[in-house]
Amino acid sequence: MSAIARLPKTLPSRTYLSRTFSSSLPRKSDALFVHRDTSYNNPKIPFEFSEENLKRATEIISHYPPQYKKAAVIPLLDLGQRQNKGWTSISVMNRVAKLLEMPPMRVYEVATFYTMFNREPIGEHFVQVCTTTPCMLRGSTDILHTVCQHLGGIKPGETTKDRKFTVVEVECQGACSNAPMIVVGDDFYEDLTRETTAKILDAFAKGEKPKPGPQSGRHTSENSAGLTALTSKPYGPGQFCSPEFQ
Amino acid sequence: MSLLNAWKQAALTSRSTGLKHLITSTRLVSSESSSTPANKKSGEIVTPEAPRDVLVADVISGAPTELRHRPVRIYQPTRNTMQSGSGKSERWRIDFDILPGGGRWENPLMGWASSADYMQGTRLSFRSKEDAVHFAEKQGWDYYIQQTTVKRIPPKNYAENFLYRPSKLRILRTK
Amino acid sequence: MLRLVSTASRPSSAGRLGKTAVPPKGRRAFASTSAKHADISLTVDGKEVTVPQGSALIQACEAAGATIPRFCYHDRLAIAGNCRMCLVEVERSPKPVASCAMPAMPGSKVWTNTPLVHEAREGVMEFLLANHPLDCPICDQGGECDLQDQSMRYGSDRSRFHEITGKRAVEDKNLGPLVKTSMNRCIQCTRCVRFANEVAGVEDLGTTGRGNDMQIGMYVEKTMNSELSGNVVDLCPVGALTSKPYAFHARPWELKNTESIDVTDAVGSNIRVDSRGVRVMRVQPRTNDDVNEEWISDKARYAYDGLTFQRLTAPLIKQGDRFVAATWEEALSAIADGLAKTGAQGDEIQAIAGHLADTESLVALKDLINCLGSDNLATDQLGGTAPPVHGVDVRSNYLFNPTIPGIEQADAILLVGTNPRHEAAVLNSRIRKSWLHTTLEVGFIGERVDTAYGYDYLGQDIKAVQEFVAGKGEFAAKFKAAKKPLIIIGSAISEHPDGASVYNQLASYVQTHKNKLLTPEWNGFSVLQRAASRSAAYDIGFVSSAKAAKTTPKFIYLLNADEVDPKSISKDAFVVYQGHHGDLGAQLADVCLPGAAYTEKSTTWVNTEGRAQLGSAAVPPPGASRDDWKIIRALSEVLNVQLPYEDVLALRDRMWEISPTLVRYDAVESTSPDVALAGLKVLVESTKKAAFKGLPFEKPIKNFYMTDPISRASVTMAQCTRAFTGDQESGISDEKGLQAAFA
Repeated sequence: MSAIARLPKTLPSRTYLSRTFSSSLPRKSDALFVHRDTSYNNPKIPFEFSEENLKRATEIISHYPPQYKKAAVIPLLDLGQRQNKGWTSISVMNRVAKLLEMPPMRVYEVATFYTMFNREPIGEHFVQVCTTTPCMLRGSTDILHTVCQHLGGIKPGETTKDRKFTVVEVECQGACSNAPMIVVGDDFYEDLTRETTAKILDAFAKGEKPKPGPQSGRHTSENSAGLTALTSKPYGPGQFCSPEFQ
Repeated sequence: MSLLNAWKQAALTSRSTGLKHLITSTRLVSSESSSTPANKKSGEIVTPEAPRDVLVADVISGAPTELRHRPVRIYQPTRNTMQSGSGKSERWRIDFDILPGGGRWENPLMGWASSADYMQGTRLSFRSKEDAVHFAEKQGWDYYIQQTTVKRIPPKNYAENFLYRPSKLRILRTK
Repeated sequence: MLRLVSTASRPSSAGRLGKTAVPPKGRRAFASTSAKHADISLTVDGKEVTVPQGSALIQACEAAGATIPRFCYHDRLAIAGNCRMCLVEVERSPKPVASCAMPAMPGSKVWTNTPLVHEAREGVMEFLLANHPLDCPICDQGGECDLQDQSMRYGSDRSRFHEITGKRAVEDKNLGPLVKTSMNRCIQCTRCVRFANEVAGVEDLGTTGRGNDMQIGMYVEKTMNSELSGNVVDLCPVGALTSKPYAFHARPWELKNTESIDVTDAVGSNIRVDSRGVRVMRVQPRTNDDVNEEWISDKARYAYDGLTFQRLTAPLIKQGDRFVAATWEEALSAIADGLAKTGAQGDEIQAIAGHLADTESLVALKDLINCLGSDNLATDQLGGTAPPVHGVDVRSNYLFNPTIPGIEQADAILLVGTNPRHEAAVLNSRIRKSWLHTTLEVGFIGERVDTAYGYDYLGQDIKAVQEFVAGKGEFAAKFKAAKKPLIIIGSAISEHPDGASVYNQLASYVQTHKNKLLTPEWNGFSVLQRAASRSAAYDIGFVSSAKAAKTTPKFIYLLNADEVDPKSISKDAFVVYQGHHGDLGAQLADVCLPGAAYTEKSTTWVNTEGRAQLGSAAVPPPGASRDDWKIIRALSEVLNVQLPYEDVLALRDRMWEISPTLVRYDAVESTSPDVALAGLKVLVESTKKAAFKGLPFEKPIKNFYMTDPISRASVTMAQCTRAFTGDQESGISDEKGLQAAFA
């Protein structure tokens, strides 16, 4: 009662719809770092390395001391991912754990740490668009936009409806001298423009495989305006040496 | 009822023994005698050993007699395992065993705890064991001393996580 | 203050470093200089301090009396070095150094209290708090939170983070009915991960994701199935992992701490009972490196809610087929009448002691029964009415002789008919620790179980024991080659029909290999008890004579005996049950006397090593229940055989007369090798003619979470049973039943 009595007779006319005082938004992570059993991804779905891959796995494991088999976890997860249509399901992780005699959690830790292990199914062609600073300066925002629009307006991280393409934004792939670039599957497509990007995607959609590398006619990362240095003939062995070495 | 009788009788006898031993020491139950005396650090202020013929205080203080028939525990509290700080674990503490019987009850309506035992919340802290013992003797309390355990932590080494082991690994370390 | 002991029982890191790094062929190796412990001196805050070589800098700082704030570093876990709170300044180091991950170097000068260090701590604190929710008022850790305290002490008074995108949000995990998670509060110190990985041996917990998205969890949905899982609550420096049964029940400053002893197994873990008013609110471990280090089992920690259910609060007398509450006077005279009516004479008067009987009441009861002219004293195990096979004349025949810290010296352990993981969970973690850090080899005979460490499986019956004794098999050879071999015999073996034969085999094995198994420094013959009162019962000779075991008792006094076989109690016998729970024993009784549970009495407990420890009362016994020994003392008066002790100190004098070890608290008195050898000789002699049937040894504890009346009455333990053991004995069949149990 006394508390009410002490209140001013007229309350301020401004009413607060929500209490803004010290509330903070949750910042959620961009991927889920826990496993959820789904119809397509659960431990009951069997996964077994193919004979050829098993041979490769044994070969990889043999590179390490027998008690440190666990060192082979990354190559083996990669092997599993390749066999499993480009993504690492929980069964792949469990299989690798069994093969390497590791507690499964130790494999999960690795698989969730590295972003190149896809823990959700991806489309047939995995398009990774680099948007790190050098590529961005060379127009990767545009390229990303083109890719997304060209694939029917999907957003980065999504897969097209026909499950042919998955687009993701990635960090630097180390091809900065040929920026902007995208990676499709295992191949780099560099020196992109809107047009060449669309052409590449169209080719993939038709089931062709365009030639990887710079799309601008450059051979590698040489100066696109032609060489400005080291244009003369390089000298061969023995030239300019004192006579006894000629 | 006979339980009560036994209790009363026990109280009576120990009161008489208490009186008998007024000038002598109170009984001491501890493993102290068998172990080596606590080594004193050089820098510490040494409290003089309490004279054994203390005049127990409650002869003149008028403290209730029940007080004397409850052994007190003298101990060094261990670190709270919930926290890593070791504060307050250097002091010696006296606390009382609880009063047997219906010394405590819960308020049936609110569940508040009530107690008829005025010593139950009392805790006395001392800088050294000797101080605590001296105080207990002065009060004429039966006391026992709980030994302090020594913490044994082997030298630890970050590099151990990455040590090469020639035989089969028994643990796969993480983090 | 931390005292560093370089000769600690655990093989030190430096020793191991030396052992593994020195190549056998005299090639000079990279790390070969640190083979011996040398002490090194360094200066911390201008104070010279000497620590063993190979210590972390943080240990040196602690030894110098400097307090270093920390989150990830924990004395009993491996070093992670990921919280960065322990930064200190080291001379000639360009930047602050994480003192936990930095070895202490001889001659280095360290400062822990300079402006640089203050600033570094403030910075770290600011980063930690950037993503930490401000929910201290609703957080159970509040009041005993390292983050709270250290942010007050070392943090800045303001933050520069005003993230528009908000704070990190992490999904809560379900770790089972014991550990409540609130993962938003996690600061990723990974103490829980390291604990689960190293100490508990459940390698399910880990970190997933990376960077800001990193989180602690199991990745797949799983509960943390470990009998030590409750310890992660203690380890967590923030409120991310808190106790589920204790959630929102109390604040630490409201609680009265009472240092006591756990009785749910025979390890005698040191606990601190936190109570408020008449209720035990929680149980915490107390560090004691000789017994439980810093851990306690989940049963010790969470069974306390059983103390409020199913209690006997008033004396009960059976009238017809129901119990009627009575006064103490009526109950005691009913017992006197009952004794007179049955006409039990001499050995027909039997006393059976249960798992939770304290030493004082055991002594009083033995004296009472002896005064009544009987020698018929039994324990409530299978075949407990007969004198135990190992005898009780020599202590080393039934105790855990090498002591619990001694396990760490053993280099080969043979477990016979025991699953230490369930019978002594904390002791099991010691075996695991030793197994991880040394070349310890473990052999196992009995029902196959997951022990949290690897073992050589030898078989499940006496045949395996015989083969081992004959030296057949790989493990027998390893055991023979070991320097400090250890045989751990489970308490269930003495209950097994082949028990005598097993004891015979193993005792004669020890005799023949006494140069290793029985030396002045090492006694490798040990029995692992699983009941808190058993060692004490044997110590005071609470066993029947051979003659008495053959009589059919007419008057049976059950002291906390809830594991008795109801069929073994004849219908016309007069049964008295004294105990604190209305469990099996009380159902059999004609008169029930309400005693006090372990949190309600200050009594002596003798653990499996023979270590006497004094528990203390935290709360008063409910209703009319009384201290157990006082009940027996009162009864003795009614039966006209008044016992000669009137207070607990006089009773302890009597205990001292029986065996001084019972009142030499906190100490273990080892049996001399000569006496131990004599004991084994008697054991071998007495079991020479034992026959065997070859039945498999079964694990005595089927459900870890329910082994005594307290844990059987506990709702939390019932939930654990349901969550972890597949629901046979929980008594809760569906969700509705669970709700009812809560109501």
